[in-house]
Amino acid sequence: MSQIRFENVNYLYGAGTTFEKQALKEISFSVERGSFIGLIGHTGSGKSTLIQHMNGLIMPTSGKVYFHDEDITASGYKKKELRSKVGIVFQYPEYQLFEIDVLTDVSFGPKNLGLSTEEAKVRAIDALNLVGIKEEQYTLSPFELSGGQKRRVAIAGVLAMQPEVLILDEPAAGLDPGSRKEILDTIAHLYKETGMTVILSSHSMEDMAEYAKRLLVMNQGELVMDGKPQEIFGRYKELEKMGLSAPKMTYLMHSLAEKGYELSTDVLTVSQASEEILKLWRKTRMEDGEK
Amino acid sequence: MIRDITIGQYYPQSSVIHRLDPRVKLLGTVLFVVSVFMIHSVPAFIIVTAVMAALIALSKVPVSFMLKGLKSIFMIILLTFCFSLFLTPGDTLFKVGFLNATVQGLKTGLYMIMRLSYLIIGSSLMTLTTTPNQLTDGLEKGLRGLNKIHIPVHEVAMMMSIALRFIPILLEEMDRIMKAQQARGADFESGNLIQRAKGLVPLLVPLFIAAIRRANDLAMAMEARCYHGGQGRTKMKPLHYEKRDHLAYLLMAVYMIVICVLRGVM
Repeated sequence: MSQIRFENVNYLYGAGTTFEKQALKEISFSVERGSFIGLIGHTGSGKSTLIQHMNGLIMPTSGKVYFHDEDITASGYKKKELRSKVGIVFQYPEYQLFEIDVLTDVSFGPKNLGLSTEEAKVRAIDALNLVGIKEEQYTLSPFELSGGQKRRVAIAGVLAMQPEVLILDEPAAGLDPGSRKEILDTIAHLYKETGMTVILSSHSMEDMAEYAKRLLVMNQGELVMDGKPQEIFGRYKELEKMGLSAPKMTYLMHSLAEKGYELSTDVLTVSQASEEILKLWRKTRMEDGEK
Repeated sequence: MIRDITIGQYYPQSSVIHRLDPRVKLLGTVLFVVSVFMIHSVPAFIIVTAVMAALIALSKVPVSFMLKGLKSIFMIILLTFCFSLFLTPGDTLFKVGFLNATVQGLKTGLYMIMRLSYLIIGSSLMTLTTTPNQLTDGLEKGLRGLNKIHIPVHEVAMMMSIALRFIPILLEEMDRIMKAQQARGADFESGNLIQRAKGLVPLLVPLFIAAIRRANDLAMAMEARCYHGGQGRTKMKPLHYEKRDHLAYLLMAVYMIVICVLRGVM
């Protein structure tokens, strides 16, 4: 059974006005429980619109969205419950913080679910632990924290609702390289610990290569590719036409292969690439030794 | 819902009205509003309507766009009509309970509906055909004389254009924060008045912070480009009167004379 399923979803912005724009065109795909999906696409390709369909913040102009085989576009569907199951962390989530201290802010979500203050606090502490915020920071104002910490608190605010699916829209945007890696590692760690489904959108192909197990590629409102990262990055020439690219290592391995080295071009990360090159080096050295 | 607000929106189009000098359009709008409140007779009403229809046709802006602004004041129009219908003393037309509808009331009520809707349509016509920048430029140059009595015209105009520029930005920001809080289970639609007011806190606090942050950034960016107020500042596109602007002034004068004469006669 699929967890989330899209069937021929179309979405029009400003329908019936001069500013009408089709943001999504005939989108169909499904998400299995426990997958780690990367969503890539150029700015304005419809990624954010697609994400907002997943928990009913936007309703499709036509087509259906299913959560556990239940139609969320049907009238009377309990959207509040859906939103607690499908957690979305928006771009620059630190701008949604508003409470007087970190702990109260993170408790906002669970409290909205109808939990008591005590239960909400327990969940908030669990969530803060998961993202690595220390106890002495619980009583600080969210505005006193650093950029990376603010973002983690904001992610905890969604995690505290204990969703089955965690969706993150550009979680590393605008952070320095250190915090960037920390945030992404935190997400990877979360995925391992909780086994929840993670959907991540990002501009960085390197990040996608490192974390995602399946990639969805959006271009001008259409879902143009869907598959394993190796397959998709192998089609880097098509990606370039859409203003995207493949990880640098893919380019390196392709140009080495063109020069006649017998290397696999399925390589995405630096560690895989170095392993592959070392393997070839050892092999050639052994062959040289035999001679 | 929020995006339906059309007052203050610009409709890009190439027409005579769009090309007119903003000062002409500003004065024209003021005169039109005055004329709408001066008329008392059917012929005058027909003239005003014809002029307005001609202007809308000249502007090439779809009529539906003009009428959109009316939707937001529909309740006000309805209330005003009911008040004049029932509260004007005169000959009874019909009775609803203790309320007495009069013939005179019906007449005043109809004129009120007409005046209020023409007021909105007239000012929408100006904002739909003039960019906010042109508008503030026009205000600044048109009211330059006030500098002599120490009113900082340039600064006020600058404040106005910044405020106008920020409306769509803040709306977008609000939309984003609203969605982010809804994703955390916030509810902005149900509950009683107090619950709803309380529910706005998670929206308003981040929105104010965002507004202050943006204002701060903007002030910094303006200072980095050596902005120091209006003294000695030149324009990239200075306003010049063209032939059509003089013609427009002439037509406006004729229109006002006709309206005044009609008011005197009838």
